[in-house]
Amino acid sequence: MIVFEKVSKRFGELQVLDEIDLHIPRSKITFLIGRSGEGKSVTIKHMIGLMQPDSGEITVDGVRLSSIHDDRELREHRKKFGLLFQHSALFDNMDVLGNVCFPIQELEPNLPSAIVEHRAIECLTRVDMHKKLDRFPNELSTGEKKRAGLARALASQPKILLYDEPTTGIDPLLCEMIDNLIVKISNDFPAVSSVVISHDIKAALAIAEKIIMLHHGKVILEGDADTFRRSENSVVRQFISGKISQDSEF
Amino acid sequence: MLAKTKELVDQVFVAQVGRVGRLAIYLYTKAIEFFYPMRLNRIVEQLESVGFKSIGIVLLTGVSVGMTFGVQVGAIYSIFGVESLIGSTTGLALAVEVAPLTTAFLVAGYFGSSTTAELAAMKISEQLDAMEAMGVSLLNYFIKPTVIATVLAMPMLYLYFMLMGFLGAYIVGVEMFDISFGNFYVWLKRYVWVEDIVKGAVKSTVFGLVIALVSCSFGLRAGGGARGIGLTTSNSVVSNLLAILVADVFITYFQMKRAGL
Repeated sequence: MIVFEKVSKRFGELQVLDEIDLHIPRSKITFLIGRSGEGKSVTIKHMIGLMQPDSGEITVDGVRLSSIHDDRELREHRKKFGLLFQHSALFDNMDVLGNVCFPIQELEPNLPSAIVEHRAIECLTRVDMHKKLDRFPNELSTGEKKRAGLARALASQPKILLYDEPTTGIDPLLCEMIDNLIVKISNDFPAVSSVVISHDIKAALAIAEKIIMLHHGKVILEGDADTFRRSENSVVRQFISGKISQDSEF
Repeated sequence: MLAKTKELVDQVFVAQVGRVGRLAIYLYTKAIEFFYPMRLNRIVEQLESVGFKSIGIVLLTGVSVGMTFGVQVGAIYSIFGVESLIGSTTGLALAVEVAPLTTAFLVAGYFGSSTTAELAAMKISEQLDAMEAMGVSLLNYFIKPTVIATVLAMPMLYLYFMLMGFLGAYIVGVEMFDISFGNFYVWLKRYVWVEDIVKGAVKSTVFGLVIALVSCSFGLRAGGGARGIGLTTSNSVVSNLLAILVADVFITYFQMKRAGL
């Protein structure tokens, strides 16, 4: 579904991605994990074309991103994605319903507003936000913002759902609620591939069908939860245990 | 030999036609890209912000600038007994310089700063990234509607400011210097021509373009949290004022040159 071949990206002296190869499968929940600053967000920005690699090739749904040359093609490419941002990034001049209607109207400008609203309410119902349609983002709790953001990501009927650090900085109950939502959405929309950028290894081990770990710009391990549990790699072990050993590479 | 020459001419001709054709297609494509898709609802929203919501402040400033100008000029003219010229002097200054410049400063301070701050806040909270990730063109959604709305609204605001300035000067002339409406109007009409108002409107249009482009570019390049928003907004306002003054120098120079002065 998404393939990175020898992709490198450097910001000044900092090599963020160092010839990484990765394969994100279709219709599965894939976790991309690693410490802060290891290039996870840079990786998803490459997927949606917000950044271009210094070298290497990225293929999404059979389309090589290097073959995209104009803005229109790039916008078409981005329509394959639904993105849930770390801080939800809801448009604060619109209420919840307006936020979810927005991508539908952008995608299908000629759709009657009644159908747009119906589809938006359907998405909001899936995340249990259908009773807060007229609330503005500043009137929502963190969990509600995440759910509204997820409904907005779903509204454009994407092929790939990207979750950018969905559980960073929130309480454990909310984390569990979001993890459950990721699984629910994956079950409700089996054709949709979910890519979760996170450093929450517990969530990854619990719900991921594939985990890819980035460290110092390289993929150091990929596989299912069992592969990670059995791994002898010291960085992986430290990441799972949450303890830094004396010969720490972190 | 003749056939060869003909072939060469044909080649050059075809190459030139091809070049002109390609240029025409390029310009046509760019024009289509600029005007389509045209987001009329966004243009109306921006017109409301830049035009309708600025009317109050333009009214107040226009009247007070006209009155102040009238008092200053009237005080000197009364020494020479030519108070009736208040209308012409104030009118001409307002039409060609004071009204376009002050309107631009007001719009830069009111609309330009809010545009920059809004875009900067959206950029920092990833709302702009969210839009781009949805395939929304920021050029079509923000920049084009802002440019079109500002360019359309500025000449209207200029006219409004100028008329309010005339009113302020007239009030001062009548109340403080005892000149009649007829006297005020005759001298105003004699020295303020339609060309002067067109000059002022042209200046306002260019200032509108400057304000829209500067404000959007600062907002879209913002960074650095709440402090970044404040810094970007103040930098945007200062840059707007400087850019307006520089543009004013050039436009005035070309307008004077065109008029043969």
